[in-house]
Amino acid sequence: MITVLVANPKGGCGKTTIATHLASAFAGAGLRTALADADRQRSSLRWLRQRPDEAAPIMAQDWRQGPKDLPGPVDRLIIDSPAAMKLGKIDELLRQADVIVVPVLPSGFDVGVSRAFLKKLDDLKPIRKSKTAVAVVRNRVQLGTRSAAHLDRFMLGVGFTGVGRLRHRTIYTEVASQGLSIFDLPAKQYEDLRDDWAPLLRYIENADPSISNFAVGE
Amino acid sequence: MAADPSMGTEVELKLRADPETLERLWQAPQLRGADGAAPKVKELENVYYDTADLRLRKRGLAFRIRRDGTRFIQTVKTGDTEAAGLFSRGEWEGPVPSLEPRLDVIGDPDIRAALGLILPGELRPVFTTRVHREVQQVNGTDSLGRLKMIEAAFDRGEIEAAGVVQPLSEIELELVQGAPRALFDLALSLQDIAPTQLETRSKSARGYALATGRRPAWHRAKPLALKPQMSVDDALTAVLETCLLHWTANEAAALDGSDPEGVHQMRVGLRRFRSAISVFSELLPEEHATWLNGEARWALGALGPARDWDVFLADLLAPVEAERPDDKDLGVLRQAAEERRAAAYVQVREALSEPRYTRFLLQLGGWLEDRGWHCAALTPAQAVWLDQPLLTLANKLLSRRHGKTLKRGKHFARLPVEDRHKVRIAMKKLRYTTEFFSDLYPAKAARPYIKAMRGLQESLGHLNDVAVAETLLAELAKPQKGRRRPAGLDRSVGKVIGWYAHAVTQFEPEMCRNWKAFAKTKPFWNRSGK
Repeated sequence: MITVLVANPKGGCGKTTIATHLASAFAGAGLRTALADADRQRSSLRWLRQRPDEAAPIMAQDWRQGPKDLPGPVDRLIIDSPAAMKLGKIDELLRQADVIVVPVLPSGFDVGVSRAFLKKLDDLKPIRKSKTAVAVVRNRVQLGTRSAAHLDRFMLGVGFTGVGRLRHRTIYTEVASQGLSIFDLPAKQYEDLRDDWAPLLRYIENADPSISNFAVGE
Repeated sequence: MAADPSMGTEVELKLRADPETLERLWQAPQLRGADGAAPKVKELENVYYDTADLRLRKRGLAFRIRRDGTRFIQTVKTGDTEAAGLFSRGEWEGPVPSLEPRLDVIGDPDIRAALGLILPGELRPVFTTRVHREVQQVNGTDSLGRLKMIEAAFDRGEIEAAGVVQPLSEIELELVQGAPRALFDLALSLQDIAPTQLETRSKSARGYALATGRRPAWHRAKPLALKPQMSVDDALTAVLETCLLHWTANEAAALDGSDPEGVHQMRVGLRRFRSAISVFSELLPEEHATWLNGEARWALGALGPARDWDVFLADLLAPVEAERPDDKDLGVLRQAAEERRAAAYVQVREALSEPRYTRFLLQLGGWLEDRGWHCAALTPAQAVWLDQPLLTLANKLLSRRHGKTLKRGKHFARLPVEDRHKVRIAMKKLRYTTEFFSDLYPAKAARPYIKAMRGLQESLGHLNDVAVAETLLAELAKPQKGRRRPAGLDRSVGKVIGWYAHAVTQFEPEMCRNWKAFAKTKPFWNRSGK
């Protein structure tokens, strides 16, 4: 199992969009997927409630009162973390995660908060020892704008791996209201938007704790 | 898994030989089945797929589509790492319409989970094998009268990756029905006709090596995970299997020789095997223990010089060179030692391709598979012990090794060097015994003991450094027939011997301190042996 924690202390940076999209990408690939919502706002749980029966199944987990045992075998667990600046509050979730995905918005204010958060993350033992992978994802990027360039400089500064960028599109809000993601749409439609997610998905796949590098000779 | 007919475990042995040897073996009478069925001939093409970042390989999977005439069969093999063992791999297969990979036809959720997420179009061919395959079905009974059905496939062809082509010539013995022992017996009987070598790498391991251009990787031992309540018999099997797997997994790296770890890890596996035989020796029929110990010692001996010269160059000569960068004499020494190392690696390759080595592996494999120690020569007392929970035996053996080490090291500060070597050897045996059994006890309880043991072992290791340096330097200083002794050789030998002889005197206080610390440390097991 790979456990992915989607976390950012600031609300509204697309945490839920990323968590729900990752979950439906994995579920669509035939993997047993669970989406655990630890956020008081329960946006991921609401999305799951809207999800049509014919869409790839995702197990819903209410984690607002803390982590629970999973009901059966799970291949990918996505956790939508609560918005908390104090890491102590999400300590248990951080320790559980194989990958921490941090969405970052291109606005100046957001970058400041994210930098402080990443600095704190960096001090955590499993991350320092690079047992836990941290992926910074640039969200709602409008290519060629000044804030996009600003974000690029930020990415170079923090010393974390930037794993792809997700372009700003209204389709994300449209599908969200139906409990869907762009991975649930027909194959040809929005293929280029799905490509935005490929680096992040590949990054997560490579963070599988059961993967050993010896097989390829590292 | 049993519910899905397309899922199964493959039990097979592979033998490598040149095409002429294959030709001779094809005529072997033991390959002619009782029913005299005609051999099948196939032209097979196998295309192996993976993602650009080789995630399937990293997950120990092999994904291939086989073209067999007009049919296409997609196969996913699990546990396909170099360290996966001599045989037995999980396998899923099903028909597909073309050479285009189809993930949607794989229904088994565990196989889907093993594959993980694969993005559309992400799978691409990595390498291809093309073989002319002749298959002979061998039916009959094995040495114990059990029914057996084996498929002997003779493969001749090539393996191609990134424009590079390598020949492929091997025999695959696959067990269709019967006990695995039958495979080893058949392989052994073929050795009488013409020598072959046991191929421990799968075709896919070879293909990936060719595709990535990487040297064969070395491997650590797999964790043992013994349980206190498991029987001594099961533990014995697990320990010996793990050791065998460890050394055979490192064969390719040892033969390659570009990384000293290959030979080193292979030796660690063999040495642990020998010490396991010694730890369990009272529970095995005497002639079995003698045979296994003898063969393992022979293999270790064949690998010894390669390891010695690796250690000499990297751990003994390099530190002196670092301190004396302008010393030209040391360059003379390095060159002489490198020549010896090259010769030692030739010896490694020769030994591993000797029939004696292949026979050892095949006999050992069959013996382990059948737990061959349960034979007429086993005494009733041994049989009782084998049935006991492991913890009882572990307590007893640890106490004994511990006691022996303490006895050897009595009055440590006053012991001459030869006696300290005896302490070192007792210590080494204690350490292997501890390594086998420490999982049975709470990790926290064992930690101080293991720490004290390691500290002492490291100190005693300095003694060995000097001994090894002296032996190897004496070897280098010996006149060689027909060769002029390079100027400065004797001088450089003297310098390095002096260097380490002096170093040992510096380590003396620390060594005595470490001994005292170890002798004071309380054992973590139950010493009453209960």
